[in-house]
Amino acid sequence: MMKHPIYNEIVLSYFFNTKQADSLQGGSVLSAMVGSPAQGGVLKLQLQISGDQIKNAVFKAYGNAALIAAAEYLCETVIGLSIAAVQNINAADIAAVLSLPRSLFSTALLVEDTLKTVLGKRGE
Amino acid sequence: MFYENKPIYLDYAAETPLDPRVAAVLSAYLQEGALGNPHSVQHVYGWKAKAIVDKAAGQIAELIHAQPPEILWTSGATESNNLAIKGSVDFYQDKGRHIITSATEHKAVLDVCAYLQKQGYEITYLKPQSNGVIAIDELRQAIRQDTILVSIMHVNNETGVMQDIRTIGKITRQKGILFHVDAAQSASRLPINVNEMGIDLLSLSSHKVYGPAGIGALYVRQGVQLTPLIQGGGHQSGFRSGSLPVLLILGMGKACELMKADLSADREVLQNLTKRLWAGIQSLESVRLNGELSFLAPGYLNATFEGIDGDAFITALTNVAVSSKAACTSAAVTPSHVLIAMGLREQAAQNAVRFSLGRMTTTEEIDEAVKQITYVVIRLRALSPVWELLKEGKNITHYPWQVLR
Repeated sequence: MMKHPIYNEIVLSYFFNTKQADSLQGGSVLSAMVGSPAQGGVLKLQLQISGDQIKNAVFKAYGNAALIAAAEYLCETVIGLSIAAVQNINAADIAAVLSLPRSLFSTALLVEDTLKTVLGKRGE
Repeated sequence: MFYENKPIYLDYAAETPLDPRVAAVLSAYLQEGALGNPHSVQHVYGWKAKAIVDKAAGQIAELIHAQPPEILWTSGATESNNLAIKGSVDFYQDKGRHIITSATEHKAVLDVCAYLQKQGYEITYLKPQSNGVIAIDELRQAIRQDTILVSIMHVNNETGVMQDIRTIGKITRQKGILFHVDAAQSASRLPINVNEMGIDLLSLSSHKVYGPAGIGALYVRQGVQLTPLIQGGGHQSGFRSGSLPVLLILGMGKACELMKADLSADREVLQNLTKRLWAGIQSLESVRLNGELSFLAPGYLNATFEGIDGDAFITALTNVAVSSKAACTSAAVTPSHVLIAMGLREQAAQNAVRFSLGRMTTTEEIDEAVKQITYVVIRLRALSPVWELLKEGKNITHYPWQVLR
């Protein structure tokens, strides 16, 4: 079987199964959108929070397959976790799980930045 | 696990499949032992090989309305472009050191020009109009007393945009300037007549005309002199030394013979298939055609789907083989110099996708490709925040993006 020259099976698997690509409405939903088309990536992340727990997480992403995969991975991972458990998730963690090469690390950074920005909106 | 083993091939601009009729000829030659150096003039093996090479030169000459001695064998269009440009401007440097080309040429022309610039030559890069076509008046105005060469490609490899070679050829001939044309793409799609078009040097590539890769040709008008790039045994009248690859030459010759016979039929089918593909793609909203249909050679569409990253599109399109000219897919891609020269914004250029069709493309394949493209575009737009903003009527260029790094 031919291997994709850039994306590994983990990345492709998330990229082709974007279950969390969606939008949420409502008062308990926090949203942030970070990045720009000129930079090659835009990520919109929405978290539905109840008390200290993340009930749901969805995203919309514009960018390469790694960004879309990383956003999907993050959303799947944070659902059901407490705020405390997710606020230290960083780009290195995401890159490690997805085995991202250095050239794609910026996509993990954008995911980290967006997560931090959303969480920063709590209590605003 | 995600990619089909034999996706629909819509990347003919990168390489055309070997025509089975060419494969049959090559196979027969290999079975016979493929022995004979065409430069061995003292025995029958050499004579046989020379006969094959001579016949192939005739087949290529016929395709472009040249004479067999005007055909020079090279390793491909890149070498042909190098030899045509470096070889001619070196030989004729006493007449002047100014070259005119265009910003949308292949890298094998642009990089040669950049090299020559360092050697003291002056280069004028004509910028095309937004449809990719060079304005003839601009070319006329760029000509100087010391202009020795004009190098303009016939059909662009990224967009399929055609240049008005015939008119340019008239001008260069009138002014006594050499005219080089990179015809790697056009040889499989448009008729070429080096005499009527006023061409002095013409680059051809075998694997763009359904022949084997690794061989190309340079047409050199009789009387035009070149300084050789490759010196050695003085083969090919000293223009390009090295033993000739008879097998590849045999294949390119057969491929050109078939091209001559099939060109007009191929063209008509291609024109219809390209129209069909464009109709299918166009029915998706917000698709930009990079180029203007009436100036495109049959078989090319370069398009940008708004709101979608080009890499994500190509990665998701598992059952259709296409390419984006942004050669690398990391976060730091360089957008196509061709599209930038046509005035596209960096983002639109970066996201452009090239579809190129050819002789083996079928109606069924186009219909299936349109289905797959439609599915991918709808899927990726559904998860694109940029598309969401576009649908809300927001101006993406002036949107207050939150950029943290």
